[in-house]
Amino acid sequence: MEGGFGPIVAFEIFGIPVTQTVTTTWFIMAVLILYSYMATRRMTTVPRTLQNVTEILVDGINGLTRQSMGDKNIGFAPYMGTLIIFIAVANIAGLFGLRPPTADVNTTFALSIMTFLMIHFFGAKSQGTWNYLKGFTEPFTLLLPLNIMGELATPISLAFRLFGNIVGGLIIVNLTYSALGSLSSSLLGISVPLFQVGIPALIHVYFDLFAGILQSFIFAMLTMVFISIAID
Amino acid sequence: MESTNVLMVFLEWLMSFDRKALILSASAIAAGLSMIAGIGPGVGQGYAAGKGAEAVSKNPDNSKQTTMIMLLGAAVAETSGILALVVALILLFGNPLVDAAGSALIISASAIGAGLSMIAGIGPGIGQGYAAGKGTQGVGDNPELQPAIVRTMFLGQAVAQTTGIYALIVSLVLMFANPLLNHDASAGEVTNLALILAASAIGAGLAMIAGIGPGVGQGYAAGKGAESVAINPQGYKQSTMIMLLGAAVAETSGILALVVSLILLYGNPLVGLEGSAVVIMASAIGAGLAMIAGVGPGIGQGYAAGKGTEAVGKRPKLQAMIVRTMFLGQAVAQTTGIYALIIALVLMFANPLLDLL
Repeated sequence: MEGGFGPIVAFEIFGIPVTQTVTTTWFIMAVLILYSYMATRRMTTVPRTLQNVTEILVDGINGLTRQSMGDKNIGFAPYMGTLIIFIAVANIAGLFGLRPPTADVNTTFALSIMTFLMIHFFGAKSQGTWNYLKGFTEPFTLLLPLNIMGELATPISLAFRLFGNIVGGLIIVNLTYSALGSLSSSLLGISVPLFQVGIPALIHVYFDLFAGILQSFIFAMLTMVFISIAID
Repeated sequence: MESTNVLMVFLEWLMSFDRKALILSASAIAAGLSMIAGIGPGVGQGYAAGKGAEAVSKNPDNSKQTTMIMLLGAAVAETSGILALVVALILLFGNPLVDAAGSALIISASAIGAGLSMIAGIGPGIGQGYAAGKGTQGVGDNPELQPAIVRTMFLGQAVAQTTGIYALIVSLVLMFANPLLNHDASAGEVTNLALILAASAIGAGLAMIAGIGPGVGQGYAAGKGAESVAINPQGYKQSTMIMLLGAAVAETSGILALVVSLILLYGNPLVGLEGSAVVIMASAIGAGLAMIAGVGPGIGQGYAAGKGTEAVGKRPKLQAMIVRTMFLGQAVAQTTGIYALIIALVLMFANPLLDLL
C-alpha cells in the first residue's frame, strides 16, 4: 500500500526492510516477557497485587478454553492465552502512540495461518489423516470444492476481520486528529492544536479499547471453536 | 481521445462545464445519495416504537421504564442517520473537495463515492432498531432485569454499527485525505488515468454498500441476545458471548468490502495497467458492484447468530453443539460472498478481459 496508512520502514538489515510493525511487535514481546517475569518472580499462596491480576487472567482464560473446547482440550489454554494477550496488547498499542502491529495484514495473516495449520493438524491427528480428508467429501462427494473453499475462507476472514477493525480505527483516529488540528487553527487562529486535547478520548475508548479487546477475544474464541470442531 | 462511444460523449459533455460547477453538482448528488441511509433508522425505530407500544399495553405499570428503554435504543439506531447527515452537511457547507487540487473528474467521482458509501447506514439502522425493539420488549416483560438486558442490547448495537463506521471511514477518506488525487493526472482533462481513478472512487463507494447486510444481521443477533437475557438471566454471559461470536462472523462480508475498497483507494493495481481505459475503469466499478453481494451473507449469518444465541439462552448446556451447527451453517452462507470477493480480485489483479482486446 503506497502512502496512506501503511507501516513506515524503520530501518533495514542486510537489505531486508524492518517496518514499524516488527519493531512494535518486539517491544510488545519484551513488555510481556518482563511482565511474566515480574508477576511470577515471588509467588505466594496468598497472592499480592501483580500475582492477583495474573491469576484472574489465567483463571479466566482456562475457564474460557474449558467452556468452548471441553475439559479434555484444556492443554490448548496456554496457546489461546498467549494469542488473546498478544492481540489485545497489540490492538491497544494505539493508546500509547504506537502503530498497532495488527493494523498490518502481515501480522494478522501470520496469526490466522497458525490457526489454519492447527485446525488441520489437530483434525488429522485426532481422526486419522485418511478419515479426516474423507470428511471433506461429506455429506456427499459433490460438495468437495465447496468444503475446500469454506476451509480456505476461514483464515482469510479471520485475518481480515482483525486487520479491518484495527486499521479502520487507525484511519478514523488519524482523520479526527487532523480535523481537530485544522479546526483549532481555523477557529482560534493559533497554531496550537487545542481541540486535540480531551475530545479524541471517546474515539480512543471505542476504537482502541472496545474494538481492540473485543476483536482479540473473538479471534481466540473462533480459533478455539474451529479447532474443537475439527477434533471431534 | 476519440468520441466514438456514448461514454466518451458523456464525459466530453461533462468536461464542457466549469470545473467548480462539476464538483458542486457531484456534491449535490452525493449529499442526496448519503441521505438514503435514512431508510434504516426509519424502519428500525418504527419497529422499536411498535414493540414499545406493545410492551406498554401488556404491562402498563412500567410504561415509563419501557418508554425510556425504547428511546435509548432508538437513539442508538439513529446513529447511521446522523452520520449520513454529517456527510451531507459537510458536502453542502464545508465541502473540502471544492478547493482540492487535481482532476475535476476524480474529485467529482470521489464526492459521489463518498455519498454511495454512506448508503451502508441502512443496515445498522434496521438492525439496531430491531435490537432496541427486543430490548424494550424484554424490559417490559421483566423490568427487574433491565440492567442486564440493556447491557446486552447496547453491546450488540455497538457491534452492529461497525460496517456503518467502515462506510464513514471510506467516505471521509474520499473527502479529506483522498489518495487518488496523489496520482499525477493532469487537471481538467479526460485522461485515461483520471478516468480509471474516478471509476475507482465510485467502485470504492459501491463496495461499502455491502455493509447493509452485516448491519441488519448483527442487529438481529443483538435483539435475540437481549431477548435471551430477558428469558434466562442466568445464561447472560453465555448468550452474550455467542451473540458476539456469531455477529463477528456475520461481519465478514463488510470487512471484505472494506478491504476491496481500501485496495481501490490505496494500492490500486488498475492504475499501472496497459490496455483499454474503458475496460479498466469498468473493472473498477465492477469490482465494487460485486462486493454488494455481501448484503446476503451478512443478513443470513446474522439470522443464524440470532437463532444460535436464542438456542444457547434456552439450553446453555448444549452450547458446544449449537455453536458448531451455527458456525458450519454460517461458513456455507459465506460462500457467495467469497465468490464475489474472488470476482472482484480477478477484475483488479488478473483481469482476463484485457487480454481479449
